Amino acid sequence: MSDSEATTNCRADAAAGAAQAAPPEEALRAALGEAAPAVRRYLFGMCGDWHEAEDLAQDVLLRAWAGRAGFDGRARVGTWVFTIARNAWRDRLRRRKTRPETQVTDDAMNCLSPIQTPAAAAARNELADAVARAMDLLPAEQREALALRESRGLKFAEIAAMLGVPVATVKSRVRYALGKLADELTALGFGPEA
Amino acid sequence: MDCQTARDMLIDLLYGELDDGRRREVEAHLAACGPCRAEWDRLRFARASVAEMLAGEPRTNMAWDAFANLTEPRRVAADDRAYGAASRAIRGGTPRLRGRRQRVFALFGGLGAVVAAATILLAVWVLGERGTQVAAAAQGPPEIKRVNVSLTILSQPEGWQAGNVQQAMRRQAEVQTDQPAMNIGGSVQTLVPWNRWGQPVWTGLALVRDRRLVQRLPKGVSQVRFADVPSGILPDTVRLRSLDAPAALSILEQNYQYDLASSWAVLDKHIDKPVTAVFKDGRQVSGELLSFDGAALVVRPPRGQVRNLARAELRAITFPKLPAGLLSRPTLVWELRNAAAARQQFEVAYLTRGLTWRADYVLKLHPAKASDKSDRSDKSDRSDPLAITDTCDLVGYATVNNFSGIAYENAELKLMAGDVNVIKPEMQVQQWGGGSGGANVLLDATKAQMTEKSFFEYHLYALMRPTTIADSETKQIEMVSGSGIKLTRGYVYDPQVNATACRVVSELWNRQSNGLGKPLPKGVVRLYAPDPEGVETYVSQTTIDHTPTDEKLRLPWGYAFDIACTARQTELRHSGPEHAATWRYSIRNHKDHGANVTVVVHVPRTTYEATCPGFRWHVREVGVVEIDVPVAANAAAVVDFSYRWNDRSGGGLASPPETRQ
Repeated sequence: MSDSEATTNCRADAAAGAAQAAPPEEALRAALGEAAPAVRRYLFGMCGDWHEAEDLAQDVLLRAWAGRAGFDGRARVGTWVFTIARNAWRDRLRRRKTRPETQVTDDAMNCLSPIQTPAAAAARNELADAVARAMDLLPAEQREALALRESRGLKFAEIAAMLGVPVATVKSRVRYALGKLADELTALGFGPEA
Repeated sequence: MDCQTARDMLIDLLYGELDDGRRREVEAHLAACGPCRAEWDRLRFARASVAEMLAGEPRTNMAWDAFANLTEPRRVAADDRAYGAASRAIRGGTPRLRGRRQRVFALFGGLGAVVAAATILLAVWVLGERGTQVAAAAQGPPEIKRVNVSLTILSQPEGWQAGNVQQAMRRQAEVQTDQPAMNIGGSVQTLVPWNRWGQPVWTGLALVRDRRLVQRLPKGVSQVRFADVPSGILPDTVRLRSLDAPAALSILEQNYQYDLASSWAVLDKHIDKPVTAVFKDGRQVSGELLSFDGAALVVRPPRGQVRNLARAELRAITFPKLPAGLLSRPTLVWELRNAAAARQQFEVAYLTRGLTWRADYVLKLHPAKASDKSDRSDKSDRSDPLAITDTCDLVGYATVNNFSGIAYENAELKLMAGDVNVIKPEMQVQQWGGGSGGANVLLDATKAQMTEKSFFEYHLYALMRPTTIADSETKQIEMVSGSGIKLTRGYVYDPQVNATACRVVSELWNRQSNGLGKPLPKGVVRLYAPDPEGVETYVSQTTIDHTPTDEKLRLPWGYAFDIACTARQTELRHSGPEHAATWRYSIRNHKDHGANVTVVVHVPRTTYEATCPGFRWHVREVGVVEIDVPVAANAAAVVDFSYRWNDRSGGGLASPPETRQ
């Protein structure tokens, strides 16, 4: 994974700048469109399920759109959307405690599964499942920091501003998270090649 | 650089947040320091693993697609209601999407157009005054506004429960899509009512006079479209005229376009074309429609396997645009040559199916008390001391049903009573039980709401004020009312109908002196009477035929509880063509008041002689004799009725002289 991809893939302000001629709503839509995949990745990092992440991401986009009047433009659109996403995820967690999971039908599952060949899927899934399990073992703060950074939507400084903690704290959370993941995966037999 | 500094920077290096100088320093340290390199490898491995996990990311982004679908700016101005404008907007409305998304949309074969089409059609549907459109030849579109509409609902359905069509529609929709409503992309509505077997049902008949003000009508030849016409319209009855300049307007051509975009028609035209299915939870699948039936759609997405989507799971199906040749609403199109002003009032008159009315009566009975002697002697039945005279209040409602496909706002409503001859299409109209749902009852006790006039051989009831009749609505309007009406309670024993019980029949005179005196259209009468606690209770219902004034109204209710009857043949003799028979009827009255029972005897048409000692009898019609049998309270009466008939020379039975009038 190249780092240039990490920074160019989701630069919402660049999009907003490009769309300066367009009316503000259009610019916002464009920025939301750019942020959408990163938001989904973040939510997947938190919940470990693409269906749920998709569902939440849609909710986040709609929430952002409904609350667009409240966006003052001081923050970057990306940061603002991630704040909404973070709240949406917290709401979901709260609801999950009081309500059982809804059943997703086979048809809905079918239409949402990522398209891939079975062999590749099997090979990938083994490691991916292990990572997902390991993610579940992380302390909430570390997991959140890692998910935010791995979403490729925000940099450390932006995450720090969003969470209201020093940049060094965010970095150390991500570092501990990665360290624990590495330990856990090594224990499961996926360790780094010597 | 020492190890501590280097390790603090590893995380920045890992995520590419180091400037070049720092990066080189850290890399140099890593090359030299084994333990730090081990830590770096560990972090890199962990991040690569996370990347591996994230690689399972779905390539489509349904969250965004759904969001885009919902929030795409509407490209139709609020006042731009013309259908043509809407379709132009559909063609021109490509969504502004960037980068990846754009590619996705391109792959989806113009999903963007779906978005625009769905929203715009929805916008037109919601915002647009459901109405009138004019596609003018050249300059700005002429404007058409509805001035008023008058409805004359002619026929009453015969033996047909209005409201069933709506139910049938709903039921059919449920069968076909497992959904309560057929609403596809917000743009298409099924307007044709059908019965349980999928055949269209047309009942009812109404004359609609629709006046519309046309502005900016160009001189010369132009096309005028009226979209707000019912789907039940009989196109061959449509007449257009200009009220302001009838001579200056000539109609070159008149077309009725009705190939409606029903859900099946639209789906059918989208085979091998892109559609988007929206699930109930908002998720979507887009792709080429391969086939469909009532239960499922088979869709092939641009990438990946063909999917079978259960329609029960779907909330909607959206289409890029309405295929050519299908209309969202039935439309009348005229080619006109106009030589007069640009501002004119047009009147379109046509007959339409789908509007029915029927009369419903509520009869509140105030039963006479057994001890109340004064009530027992009504003038019309002075000779009959056992007759019971009750009083009642009668209210008649006109129940108007509209399933013609459009709403009529502020319509002048007229209801014609009488059986009008209508040529019915060769079609089996099925009926089944169940009434309509909640009815909208208009009640205004303070004044009469409808006036009645006779018209040709019929009666016309006109509502005094304009009313709005929505599509698929049942509306009730008070039509006639009278109070303090006297009605005589009698009992009819007809052994051929019920061998052991007699029917309660109320008779009343439709006269002004009796509190009524208005022509009563055919309808259902529901009887309410107070129970012993004085609470009004539903008792029974019956039907009446069209009843002119000064005619007797017979209202048969249920069977009397306390009067037991038996019939027995005591004699039957045959000698050649000559026959004789005697029947014995015994009637036992267990009530604490007397009852006047009419025994109905069906005799052969060739009967020439009859005797009934001790009782008055008369011939009601050929072959039917009625015997008046007064039975005192807690007493019994035995009637012997003998008659003779002759196969060769019989017939001509007449009532005995004392009962002839």
